[in-house]
Parts: sequence; structure tokens; C-alpha cells
Amino acid sequence: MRLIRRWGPWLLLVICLALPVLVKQPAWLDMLQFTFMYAAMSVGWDIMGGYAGYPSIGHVGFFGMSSYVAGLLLVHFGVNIFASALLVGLFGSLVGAGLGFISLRTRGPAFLIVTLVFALTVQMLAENLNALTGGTSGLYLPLLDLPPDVVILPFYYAMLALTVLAVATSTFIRASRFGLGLLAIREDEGKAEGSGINTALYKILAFAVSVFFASVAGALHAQYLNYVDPDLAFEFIIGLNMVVMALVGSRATPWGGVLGAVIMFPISQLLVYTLPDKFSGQVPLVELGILLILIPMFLPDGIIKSLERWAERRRRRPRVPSTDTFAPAPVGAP
Amino acid sequence: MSTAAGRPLSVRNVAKTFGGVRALTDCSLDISCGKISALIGPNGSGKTTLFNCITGFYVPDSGSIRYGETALGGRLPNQIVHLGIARTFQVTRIFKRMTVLENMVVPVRQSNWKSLFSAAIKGHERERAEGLLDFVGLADYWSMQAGNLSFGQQKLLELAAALMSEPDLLLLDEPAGGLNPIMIDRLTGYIRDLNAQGVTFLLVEHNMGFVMRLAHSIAVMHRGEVIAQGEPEAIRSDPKVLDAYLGD
Amino acid sequence: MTQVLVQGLVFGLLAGGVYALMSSGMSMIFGVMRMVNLGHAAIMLTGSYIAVTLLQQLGVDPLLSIPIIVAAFLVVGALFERGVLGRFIGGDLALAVLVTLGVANILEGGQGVIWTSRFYTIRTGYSFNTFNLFGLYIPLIRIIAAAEAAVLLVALWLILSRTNLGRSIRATIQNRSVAQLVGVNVARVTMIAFAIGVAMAGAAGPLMGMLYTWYPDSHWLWGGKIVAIIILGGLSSLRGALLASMILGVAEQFVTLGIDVRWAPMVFYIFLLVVMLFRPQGLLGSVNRGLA
Repeated sequence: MRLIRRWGPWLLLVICLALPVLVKQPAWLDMLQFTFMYAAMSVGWDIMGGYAGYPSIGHVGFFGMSSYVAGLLLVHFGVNIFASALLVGLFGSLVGAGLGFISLRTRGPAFLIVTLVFALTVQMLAENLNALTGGTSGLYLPLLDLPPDVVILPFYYAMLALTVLAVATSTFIRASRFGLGLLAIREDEGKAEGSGINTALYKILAFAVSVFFASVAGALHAQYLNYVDPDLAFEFIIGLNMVVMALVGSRATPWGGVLGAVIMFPISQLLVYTLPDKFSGQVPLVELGILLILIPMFLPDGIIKSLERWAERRRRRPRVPSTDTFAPAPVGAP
Repeated sequence: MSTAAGRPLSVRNVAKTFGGVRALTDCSLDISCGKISALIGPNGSGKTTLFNCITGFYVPDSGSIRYGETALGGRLPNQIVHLGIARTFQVTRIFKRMTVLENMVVPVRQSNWKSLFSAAIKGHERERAEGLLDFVGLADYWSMQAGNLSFGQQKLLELAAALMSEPDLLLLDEPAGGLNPIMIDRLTGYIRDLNAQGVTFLLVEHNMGFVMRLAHSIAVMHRGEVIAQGEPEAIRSDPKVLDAYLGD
Repeated sequence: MTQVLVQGLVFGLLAGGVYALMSSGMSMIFGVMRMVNLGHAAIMLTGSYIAVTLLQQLGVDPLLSIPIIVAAFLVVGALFERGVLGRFIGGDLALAVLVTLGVANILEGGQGVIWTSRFYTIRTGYSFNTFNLFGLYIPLIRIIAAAEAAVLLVALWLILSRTNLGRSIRATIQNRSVAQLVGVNVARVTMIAFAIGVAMAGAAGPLMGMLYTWYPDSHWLWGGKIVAIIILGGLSSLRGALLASMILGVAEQFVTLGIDVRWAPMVFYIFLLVVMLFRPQGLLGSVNRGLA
């Protein structure tokens, strides 16, 4: 088991890097690319929603906003999206910090509401600022100059890289004092504040980091579609998927979002392809909605943590360390 | 443990109202540093509200609170901790899903950007934490989930964790509440030891025996203001105090 | 010019009445459960869809469908709170919010399957009548909707101020633990308050439907407006929600008349931004760091 924990991720990475060489069909690589994208966004969401305990329903606003920012940079200034993606991500983080400053200095639902309103506002701006964004007709982006069987590759590797970055960031945070503080905020924010933690700062920082991944993904996705439009860029189901995947996989764990994406994305693709067109938009909503109710009721800790707890019970250690917050083994254990 | 000279805490004419309920009316209090002071009074007299005002959980409507030269009013709780004031809560608050050791390591007196991203539990912090856990007799429980501790153990953990931020002034809200006599004796011992090392205490307590044994100075609150402050013997025979307790 | 001002004021106040009904439920639910009901607007739309279906299939006037909707939603709301939502209150509130998000999506998806994504509106025989008030032509429908909203809000106010239940609800909103200490059955009160809250939302559905067009996705737009209202008013203050509804109703009208109807929702969001920056407790909320 320890061996898997230590070497598993590296092995997985090597396989993913090599996959395009072995699997030539673009359809499979395409699906994997989306899975990586959702995994990265979900792990990012979890930094705020899982560690700090502040779920955001506005991440899709950052996804869409970045699609437009990256698209406009490309259309008006010729900046290649693969080059601008990280910067657009940082811009997203800046906006996130701003939103955080507005809403995270107090406790309570202000944050949730502000993230929702942000997403709605940016969508509204995208729809109505015709001169800038093309309004409801959308923004067309120049195609990448690559042969059709190869064009998927940059997206595949970019999204893979983003996922690796997300998991690494989440792992780093979890092991740091910052992460401990976030978990304390989730447990009892008043007590955390009374212990000397600058909760506003921690939360704002966590949110800024959290939206980075959705922002980069949005930028890359714009190029993938070669098109940005207010309906597609801000589809709420994108944000919903992030949340449910983190819930399914396990909140407050670096790999939760990855597991959630791997399990759920292929299923949702299956639904989209097998259902008649009439229902293909609605059924995923109902499916996600049902999961949002059933998982908190029956598997509130998600798959990874539930498995860890089950494994602990089987081993029947005399003093069971906390498996809810930190490293699987008690800190300092040999 | 910090033995730096603490500062006197002075509360002047503090008022705090909650939608019709005047929790604090004209509250004034002086806490000399290095002493153990106690705050007593009937239920509803405003003791915990005063604590919350001192530690930044409430913003006073008027009046001033000074710690030495520094004005406390309006500061955030985390800033108050950085000034060297720590507190416990009337209903014990610990991080139940974290381990005992993790609970100990959360409090900080200073933090800077570099330390934010360093490892959660560093060597010297761990040593200090273990030392404090040992002090309160919880050393063996370091890896246990805090929620699994007994009630009394949780109270001791809360106290030990509060000490991690090296406070000069420690505000304890009903530290003896719900404890059995043996635990209360232990607690009395801990507080005396810490006081001898220079920590100033302000306790809110209902347990009169505990207060009389421990406190150098007692302040009595009634209906949102301090009606008497002085040495235990003087307070015990003060007619205003008897009136407050018996009159209600 | 005065014509515009008067129209803006009158129309705005009338719309404000309906907004007040929409947001009263969410305000009460927040007060009792300390959680934002993300499914509130979707529940309202469910009421709208039920009303329009009853009208089209059975010829039932939307105003008559309101009692039916209220009764049904009271029952369903109570069952849902008891069966699902209640277990998260007092514990992991983040999960409770996500559950309401789930409700919103199930409702949106279900509505899309049953009624498709075409636009709906409620048109009755009197939809096009106008009422002449000193030269200002007010669509009768706006007055009727506002009047009906007023009736329901007065009923709510009576329940809250004159009954024991109402007293218990208000006590729970003010301080749940103290209410429990003085003998209030907070679990039962929570269930009833939630049921009333969603019933209010459902009742607002037909009224909204008489004044506007909608489709399943609209609940996000309405939800955004409702949360802006309760933040402006001050969380868990019903009076604040009423006041904020009026203010925003009027402001929205002025923007619609003076600028463009497409920017109308922006008014809500700008108010929200200003409130969060300068007076986070809202108009009638209390200053509370929320940390104690």
C-alpha cells in the first residue's frame, strides 16, 4: 500500500504521457483531455470548497471570463492561447482575490452569493457588450495550424500538465501551515480566528489559488472550440461537474477531484451520446442534482476517505489517528 | 514560556447592545499585569460579552479598551492574539476532527509569508507542543482525534493550545465549569504555575471556592457594569455584591 | 420627465411587492437554518409551471392555483426537510447548501424534460387590461400580482406576529440555542419554517409568470436577484427583505425606463457590490463578525 502511495502517481503520469503514442484515436484522447480538464478544475475547486469549507458555485464565471480574455487577446493581439493561458490564469486569480476581498472578510453566505452573482454578471456582460465580445453571436477564434490527427495533442498535454499542477499544489497546501489553517477555518472559523489565524487573508488566498485552474482551463478550452459564446462559456453544468466530482472523489484531498473526474466524466459522455437530443441537456442536470443529494446523505466523505477509513478499521489500530484532516499516517510517525 | 513584562488591561465605559438587550452598559475594569483576576457575577451580567469585546469577537458600541498603550477596540481577534492575549471559551472549542497535536500547532502569535508555506508541524513547534501537552498531562494522546477526548481532557487541550501562542494575558471563560474536584485542583495548580512564570490571568467563573483560592483581585459584574473590584475578602463582604447576587 | 419618475416609482413598487414575496421565503429559511436555499428560485418556477399548466389544461385562473400550490409545497417542503435537509442543519452546512443546489438542478432538468426549453408566460383574459391612475396607464396584471403578493405577505406577517408558532420561529431566527433552552422545539420549527418558505416561493411563481416570461434556466437569474435582495435587506431580517425589494424594484424600473431592460439585473448586482463593500450587514441586519 505504501508502495502505491509513493510510486503510484509517478507511474500514472508516465502512462498518461505515453498514452498518445499508443492510442492513436483522437476520440479517446479527446475524452481524456476533458477528463484532465475537469480533474484539474475540480481539484482547484476543492482547495476552497474542501479545505476551507467554502463551496463556490461561481467557478464557471472564471472559466467563462478567461475564455473571453484569452480569446480576445488572440483575436485582437494575436497572442497564442497556449502562451497566454497561464497569464490569463493569474488574471483570474487576481479577480478572485478581488471578489474574496469583497466577500470573505466576514463569515456567512456572502461568499456563496458573491460567487454566484459574479458568474451571472460576467455572463450578462458577455451577452450585452456586443462591441467587445460579439454578444450572443460569439467570438470566432483562428484555428490552430495543425493536421487534424495531431491537433488534439497540445490540448491533451496542456490539460495533463494543468492536472499535475493542480494535484501538486493541493498536496503542497495540505502539508503546509497554510493548509492546516484552512482546515481549522473549516472546522471552526471563530476558533481559528481566535487562535491568531488571519482568516480573511487565508480565505482570500485560497480562493485566488482555487480559481486559477478553472481560469487556465477556460482559456485553453476557448482555443479547443475555436469559439467563445456566452451560453457555452458559462454553462452552469461545468461548475456543477467540478463540485460533484470533488464530492464523489472526496473533498479536502488532492486526488479527490481526479478520481471524481475519472469516474464521472465517461458516464456523463455516455449519457450525452445515448440519450435522444431532446433530453441530452436536461438529464445530466438531473443526474448531478440527484448525486448532490445522495452523496451528502450516504457518502458524505467521498470515495477516497471512505476507503481509507474502511482500511483503517480492517487494520484495527489501537489508537486510530484522524483520517479526516491530514496525512493518512499520523504526523511524525516513522 | 514568555516572561516578558505584560501590560495592564484597562476597560473604560464600554457599552454593547444587541437589538434591545443592553449587555454592557458602562463597564470599566482594570487588570494589573502579573496577577490573577477573576470576573464574577450573576448570569446575564455581561461577563462573556466583555470577554468577546476584549478579544475582538464583538465591537463595542462605545468606550475604550486598552492593553498598555495599545487600543484594542475594533481589532480583529487574530490581531488581538498577536498582541499577546489568548482566550478559551465558555463552551470548550477545539478542532474535533484534528488530532491533539494538530490542535496544538494551529495557534500562532506571529506569522509571515514564509512560514505560511512551510511544513505544518516543524521540529521546534512540535517540541513546544509536546512540552505543553506534558504540562497538562495529555502527552500520550498526541495522535488521538481531539473529539475523542473526555470533556475534562478537551478543556485542558483548549488551555494548552491557548498557551502555544505565548500569551502574556490569558482570558479563561469558566475554566472549571463541569470539572470534578480533582481536575479543578489540577487546574488550580496549572494556573498558579503559569502565573508564577509571568502570565496574567482574567477568569470568568461561577465556582466561588475556586475563585477565592486563586484570585488576587475580583471584579463583580451586574447588569452590564462592574459594581465592585478589589481583593477577595473585601468583595466577600461588600454589600453591593450581596445585593446583586441575592436581589435577583 | 415626471411621467417617467412616477411610472418608475409606481411600477417599481408594484414589482417590489412580488419581489418581497419571492425573497421572504428565502430570508426566513436563512434565518432559521443559516443556509442559502439555492433551490428557491427553481421552486418558484415549479409553481409557475404548475400554474400555467393548470391554466392551459384545466382553465384554472393562476390566482386560484396559488392555494393549491401553497398546500402542496407546504407538504413536500416539510417532508423534504424532515427526510433530507434536516440532518445537515447544525452540522455540515456546506453540504446542506449543496443539497439545495441539487434540488435546483433536479427541478431545472425535470422542467426541461416536461416543458422543454421554450419560453412560457401566463396569459389570462385580463392580462391586457390597464388601469388609469391620474393619466398613468398601469397594466392591471401588475396591480393584481402586487395585491396578491401583499395578501400572502400579510398572512405571513400575521402568522409570525400573532401565533405561538410565529413567536417560536422568530425566537429561533434570533438565537437558535437560546430558543432551544427556553423550550422551543427547534427541529419542528425548522421543518415548518422551511415548508412555509418554499410555499411562499411556490406562491410567487404564478405571480412572476403573469408578469414575465421564463424558461427552466431562468431560475439562476431570479436566484441572483433574490439573494441580492436579502443581502441588501440584511440577512434574516424579513423587514429588511421587504424594504430592499421595494428599493430594488424601483431602481430596476428606472434602469429599464432610462437605459435598457437588458441591464436591469445589473442594478441588483451593483447594489450587492456596494452593500458588501460599505455596509455588509445590509440595511436592517446586525453588525456581527459571525465569529463568536
